[in-house]
Amino acid sequence: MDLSAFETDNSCNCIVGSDIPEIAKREPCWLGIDEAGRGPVLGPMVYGTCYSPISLKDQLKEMGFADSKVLNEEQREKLFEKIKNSTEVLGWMIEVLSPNFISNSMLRRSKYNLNALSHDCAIGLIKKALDKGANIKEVYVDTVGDPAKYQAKLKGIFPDLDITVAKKADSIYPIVSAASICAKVARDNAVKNWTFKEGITVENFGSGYPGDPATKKFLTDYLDPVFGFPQFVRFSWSTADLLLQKNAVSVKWEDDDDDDQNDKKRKKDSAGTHSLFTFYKSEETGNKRSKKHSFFDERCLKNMTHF
Amino acid sequence: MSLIHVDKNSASQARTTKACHLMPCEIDYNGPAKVADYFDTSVRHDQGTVLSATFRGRPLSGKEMQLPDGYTGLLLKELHRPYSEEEERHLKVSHKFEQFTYWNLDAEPSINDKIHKALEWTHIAKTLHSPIESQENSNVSEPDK
Repeated sequence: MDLSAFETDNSCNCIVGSDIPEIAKREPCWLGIDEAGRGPVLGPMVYGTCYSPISLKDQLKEMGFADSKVLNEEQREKLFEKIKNSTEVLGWMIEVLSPNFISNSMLRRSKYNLNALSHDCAIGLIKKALDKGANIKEVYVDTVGDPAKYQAKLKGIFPDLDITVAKKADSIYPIVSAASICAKVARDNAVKNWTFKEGITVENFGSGYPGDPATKKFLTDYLDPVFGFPQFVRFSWSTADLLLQKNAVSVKWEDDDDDDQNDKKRKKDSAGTHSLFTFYKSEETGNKRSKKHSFFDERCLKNMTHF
Repeated sequence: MSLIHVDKNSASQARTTKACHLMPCEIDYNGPAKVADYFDTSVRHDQGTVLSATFRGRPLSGKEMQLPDGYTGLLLKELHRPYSEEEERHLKVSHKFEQFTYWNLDAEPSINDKIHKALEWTHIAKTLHSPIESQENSNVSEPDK
């Protein structure tokens, strides 16, 4: 798979795919969607989609697609070659979501959770297939979160499509299996060919799953006290966050205690009203120095006589 | 409160740097950091003059800013920390800067940013503190003659 666009700039997302088969424009098609690399604390998450004419469902079954997780790397690579060589009947597309994009999205001011991000990515792929002129009629999606809610969400956006969201869709529908193979192959390649912008060379970072000892060792060994981790790491994962809290210098952001303060405010409000007598108290008269104009307060300007 | 000395000689020797960043967070650290490897490599030029970058996984939006005319930015270093409040302190200028990049957390830079507004003061201060021009003086004093 040619991921050179992603390899030259692995901070940003990238979409790669086949041309649309002529037959997929004429005949009604089914489309499958699956993802790879959702759990790991390292590397990109990849969304894959495959589509082909409904009339050729049986032909697809014979190609031997199965859930990408039960296949080994070699088998997946072989099956992906098959997908690539079936351009007359099978179209495919993948989107690589860079770990930097995942971190940045999840750590925005208004948090964007991984489920919403996944849903939006799937929606984007369906839209792109339709925009390219594929005659999509049926859509099969491996679920993220609650299948019924996800299905309703997709139905709302694509009322004309017949949408099925299911658990383990990749082992039930060959078109989803094919999509999962594309996604997994792309994820493996992106991880294998990762170039660290930070000028470090890493021998072994393991599978990327937080429980893997090699991954844990990588996270501990390559922790920079100021910057934290290279962009390869998803900062929004609790594994990464906990390590930073423990081993990196503390960083305070202006929105850090927003939640905290809201809690306190709520507590104060619910604690009841002020005592009536506070209204009759005389104002404190101690501070007679004139106050600075709010112009200076708003600009954080102060007189400094010492540091 | 103690007396603070800033070494004037060090100011003339200090190099001018362009790599000065005003971050939207407090980093509890003073000292060398791998800015070129970890931060500069994340800086991207978005549309127009807006920059984007990432720090600790969070998205930043930034803009380059020139200091107002007649102002120089100084980065001061204290070689020995004072032991008590009364002790005199000696600071050296380690770098000078005429421009810097300021970064917002997940918000496009705008003229409403505090740093923009703070620098407005330099214009107002200039007007407030410059001597009133002689022409106006003579206008006021004319009727007395």
